[in-house]
Amino acid sequence: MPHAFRFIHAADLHLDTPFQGVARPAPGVARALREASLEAWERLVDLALEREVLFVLLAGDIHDGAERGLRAQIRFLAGVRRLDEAGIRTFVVHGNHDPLDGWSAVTGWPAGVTVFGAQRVESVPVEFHGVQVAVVHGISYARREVRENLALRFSRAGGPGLHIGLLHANVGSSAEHAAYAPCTLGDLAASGMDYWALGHIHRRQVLRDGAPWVVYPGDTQGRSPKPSETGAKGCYLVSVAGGVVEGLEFCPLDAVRFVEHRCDVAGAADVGALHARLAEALDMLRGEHQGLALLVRLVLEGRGPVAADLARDGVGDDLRATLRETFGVLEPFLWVESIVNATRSALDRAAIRARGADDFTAGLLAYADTLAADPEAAQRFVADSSRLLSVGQVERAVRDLEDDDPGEVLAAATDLALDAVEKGAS
Amino acid sequence: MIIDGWWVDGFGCLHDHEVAGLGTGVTVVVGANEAGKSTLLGFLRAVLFGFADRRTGEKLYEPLRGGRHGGRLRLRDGAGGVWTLERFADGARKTVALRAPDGREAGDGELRRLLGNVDAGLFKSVFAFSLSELQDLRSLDDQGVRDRIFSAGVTGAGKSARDVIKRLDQRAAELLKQGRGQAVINDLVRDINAKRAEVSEAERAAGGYGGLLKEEGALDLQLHELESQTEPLETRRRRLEALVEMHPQWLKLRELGAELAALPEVADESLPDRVAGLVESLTGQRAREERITVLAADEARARDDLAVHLGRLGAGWTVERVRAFDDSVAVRDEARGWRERLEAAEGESDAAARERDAAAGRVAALQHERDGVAAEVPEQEPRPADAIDADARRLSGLRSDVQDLQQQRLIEQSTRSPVAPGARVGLVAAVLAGAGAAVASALGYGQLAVGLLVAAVLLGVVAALGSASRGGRAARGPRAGGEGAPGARSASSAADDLAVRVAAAAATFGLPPVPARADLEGVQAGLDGERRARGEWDAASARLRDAERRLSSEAATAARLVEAATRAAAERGSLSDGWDAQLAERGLSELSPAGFIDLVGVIGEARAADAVVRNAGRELAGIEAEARRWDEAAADALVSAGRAHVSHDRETLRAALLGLHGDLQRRLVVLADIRRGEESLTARFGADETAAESRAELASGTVVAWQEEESRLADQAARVKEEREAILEERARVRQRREEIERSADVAQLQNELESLRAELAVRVREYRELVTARELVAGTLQTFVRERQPAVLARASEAFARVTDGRYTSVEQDEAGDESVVVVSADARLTPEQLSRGTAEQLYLTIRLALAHEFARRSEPLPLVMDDCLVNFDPRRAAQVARLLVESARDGQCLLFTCHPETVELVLEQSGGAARVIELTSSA
Repeated sequence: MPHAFRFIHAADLHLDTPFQGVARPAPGVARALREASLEAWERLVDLALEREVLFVLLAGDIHDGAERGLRAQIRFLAGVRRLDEAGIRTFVVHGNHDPLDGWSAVTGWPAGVTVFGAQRVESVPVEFHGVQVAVVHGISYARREVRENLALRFSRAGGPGLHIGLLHANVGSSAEHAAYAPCTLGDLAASGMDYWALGHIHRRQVLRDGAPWVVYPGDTQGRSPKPSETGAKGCYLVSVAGGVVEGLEFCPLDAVRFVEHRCDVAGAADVGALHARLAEALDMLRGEHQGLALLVRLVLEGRGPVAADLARDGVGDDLRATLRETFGVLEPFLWVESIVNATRSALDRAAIRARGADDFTAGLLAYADTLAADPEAAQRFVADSSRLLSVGQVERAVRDLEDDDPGEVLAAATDLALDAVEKGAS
Repeated sequence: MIIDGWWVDGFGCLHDHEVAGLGTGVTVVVGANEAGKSTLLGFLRAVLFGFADRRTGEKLYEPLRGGRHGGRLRLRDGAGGVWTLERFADGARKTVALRAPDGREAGDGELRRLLGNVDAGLFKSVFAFSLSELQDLRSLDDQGVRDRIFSAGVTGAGKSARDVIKRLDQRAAELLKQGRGQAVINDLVRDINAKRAEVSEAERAAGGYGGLLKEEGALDLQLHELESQTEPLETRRRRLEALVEMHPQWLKLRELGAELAALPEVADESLPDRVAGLVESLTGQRAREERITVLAADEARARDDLAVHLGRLGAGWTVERVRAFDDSVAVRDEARGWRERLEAAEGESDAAARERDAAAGRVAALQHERDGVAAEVPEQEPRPADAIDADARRLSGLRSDVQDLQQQRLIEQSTRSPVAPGARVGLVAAVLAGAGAAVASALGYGQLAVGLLVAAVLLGVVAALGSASRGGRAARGPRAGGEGAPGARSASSAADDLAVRVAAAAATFGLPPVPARADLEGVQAGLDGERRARGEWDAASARLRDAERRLSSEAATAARLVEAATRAAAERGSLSDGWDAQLAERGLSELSPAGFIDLVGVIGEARAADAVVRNAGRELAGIEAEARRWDEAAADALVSAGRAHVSHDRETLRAALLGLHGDLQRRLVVLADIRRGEESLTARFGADETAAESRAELASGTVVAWQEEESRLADQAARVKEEREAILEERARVRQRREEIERSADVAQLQNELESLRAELAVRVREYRELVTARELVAGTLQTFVRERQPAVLARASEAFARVTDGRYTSVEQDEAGDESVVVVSADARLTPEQLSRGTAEQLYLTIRLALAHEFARRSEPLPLVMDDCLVNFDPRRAAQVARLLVESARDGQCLLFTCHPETVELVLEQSGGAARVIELTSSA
């Protein structure tokens, strides 16, 4: 096939990023997490060399933060040097996490590296065996918060070949991520690009599979147990022939994978039975993700007799510790990041309500129902209840955390209170 | 629940006191002071809720009249079941036992349920109190009574809502405490703050990376500028050092220049070398002179020796003949060869003659030996040994046969019979054959004789056997009746046959047919002698053959040696002729090879002497020529140096030359010193244009001035160096810091640790939120209950208090100040309990207790009211109202009223219509 080539599209490397939401991991796990994003980058370089790609596109957020990324910058530089030595070009735009106004430890890039500026969209032709086969257009973020629709600045110019738009942007204003460089699919389609190599959204997705291709490869390494960070993470290997994208191949790069596993506790007579069920599930997960270190969030749901056990202080912690002892020492490790107790009390709420207003438990349930029906009231109630969290240093520490959903807190608290009142749970 | 009865084993003044069959309604326990009413109240509380603790200071009621400390209660539940509750305290050991109506042992939970989840405090506050305790309940909220009243028994597990709240509070407090307390979240926040500070520090350090890069660059620049300043300074300082250092050298050069000027100039550049060469060869010249003397003496001695050697050679020998004579090694070797060959030929000739003569001697001796041996051999050769051996074997067989025959004859004699005609014929034939054999033997027909002899023997034997056989048969026939006749005949025939054979054999030896033993021995002796003769003959014949063989061999050898001796003699003659021819060729004769060799030796000595004479002469001439050339060269050198020499005395010439040489050598030394000095100056100052400046300074300056300037510059250089080192040190520090940052993973690690803490905080915060929200749900519900139920309690208390006070006070209300205290309302005033008289206040508290107890009974389990002399401060009318109220309250429950006043008993009996039960408590109980 004349002028057939491949390129890699990756984004959101967040090199040396701190992992969020992983409480007190074992030293070996912590070490693996610390190295994971850098290892994913090195795997990307290996992939580019192995698959002999023509160039590599990095669509922003290579670093998690300018002030944090010195080690990452040095490792990143080593990687692009390897690519350059192999004759593979690298195109980079900066995103909201690594805007151009941050300092850089890199004083000079290898010749094969193009870092797009923030003043205007630059267009760089790419040749293959002396023939221009592509034009890469790109623009970086000058600062962290870019609210301008940068996609509107792109236009097809620069000659023949596949025209690629390299941009860190939020298409369709995804609520999961900050609305930086917001744009619409229509904006992208109108630009005349053949392929939009986007970054910013961590959940990989192909928004359009042609005319033009609009692709988020997701981040190269999951960063937290959040849904958008779970599952395989990596990059797209894009095959081009005759100036047309023939197909995308997703290539996992992650060194540590976040996985969420939901387990229905129904039928588990006690904590021992539940432990056996969870251990079996974890074995299954290791089989599914063979060869990968896993961070698993177990979500326990459903109703069952074991739900009351789980509500007791320390039971969930003990269960998690036991599973960690078993699976955390394996190679590669499986680390139970947390066990989320989403089970519902086994109490028959309808029967409780039927007891009448003179019954304390019925009164409690009616009270909770009233609050749950009014989200604002529920929010106030939860906030008032936990007012100690709004004092002094605790308030400053808690302010940075993601807010708990008051409805969820109220529901869990209602279960807890009902169990405590009805069963005298301690 | 009501108290059905009790048995006090030992409690204060009570001992073995039992009451049974109590039911609902009012029971008045009456007794005088010290009868034990207050003790009984304490007993009921203690058995229901536990003994007082010594540490609290409460009264312990230890037994005063014996018995174990404690006792038993019979409790009747709402269903009529009777429970037995025992509690004893044996010192520090306390025991409790609850037995259910069905007789089984019950647990604490069942006891709590039986008591309506009331604890000791609430029981004491609301249900069982003394007069002094009546006023302790000043508000509904005092001692948490209100909450406990309304929350009691609300939970499925029999716990109070208050317990649930307490537990949730505890769990929440484990997570978070106000202020700087120790709790999970507080600790986490502290850890997070500390970690955040570490992160900030690490980030600050990492953020300083760019600054460090710039700083490093600036320091490099400063260093470069400093080094550019340092260079001229150092250059000048080095020149000054060089000037000071080289100044003595400079002075020395000036002195050398003056000395050189004083020494003679040399026009011929080669003169110093020539003179030096002559001086160097002066020793050789002296040696030559000595050698001339020695050679002249050697030549004279050699001429004398030559004359002596010519004399030894004799007349006709001249120097020329000697020189012409070939006395080469080859000639002498050849002469030695002739000598050796001639000596060898003579030796061989003599040896061959000696061997030849010896061989002739040995032949003669062997001939003599052979003749001796031949004489020892007999002329008549004895019979061959095998014939003798054959006879010996036959003789042996004959000897055996004779023995057999004799044996058979002996047998035969025992069966004697006439000889049969056959036997006789045989015997005759044998005799005839034997005779024939004898004749044949006598006539020389040996073989025939032997055959006849054998035939005679056989015939004789056959005859003998046949006779014997028959004789045997004849002898045995009559005795044996004919049966033994064949055997006898056969034996006789065999003997006869043997006799014939013996006769034949004997005939061959010339013996009678039946030879005697002596005959046989004689034959044997003859054979032995014949064998010995044959052996001796054989041995002598062998010796003779050996002697003849050796004689023959030695004779052949002797013949060969004769030939060899003859050849050796001829060879010897031939060689001698050859040598004579050799001598003749050299003009010599009559000399043996050894003599020739001696002659050649003398000729050699003469030649050597002649050679010495000739060589010494040649060498002498050469040396003398060399000595003359040296003299001429020395004279030339002196002339070249302008020092004409006219004397022919060699010593004078040598002295003049040495003087010239000394001057020339000194000049060279001075020149070399000047050259080295110049080289040192060049090495120190270089060869560029600055060198000329330096030399000019050397010529014009002074050491003192240079040293002063150098000192100033050294100080200046030291300052610059110090500054440079400081910059270098600073640059190393900056570089190290930059490299540390490059290597460091601190930020990433600390960030991860921080995130880890924050993740844990999020979990704990969520947990805390759930706990406190749950707690507030329970508390809120309880509050609602209190709020909704409290009016009913106050209404009931209002009604009761209005009845007791005959309407003076219309209601009991909650204080509007909101401090949970109550006020009473009359037609014209709102009064706090403190504003009431003691009796009225006690009536208020009593009516509130009754209302609370009623509410409790409605929500939970009715419990007995126990009051100790609570009516003593009431006026009769109000006391009657209260008594009626108690009777009404106890209609479905139980009221135990302790009093020491008979009128109270009367009052209760009156208000109850006599239904009240009265129990008298005596001091002896």
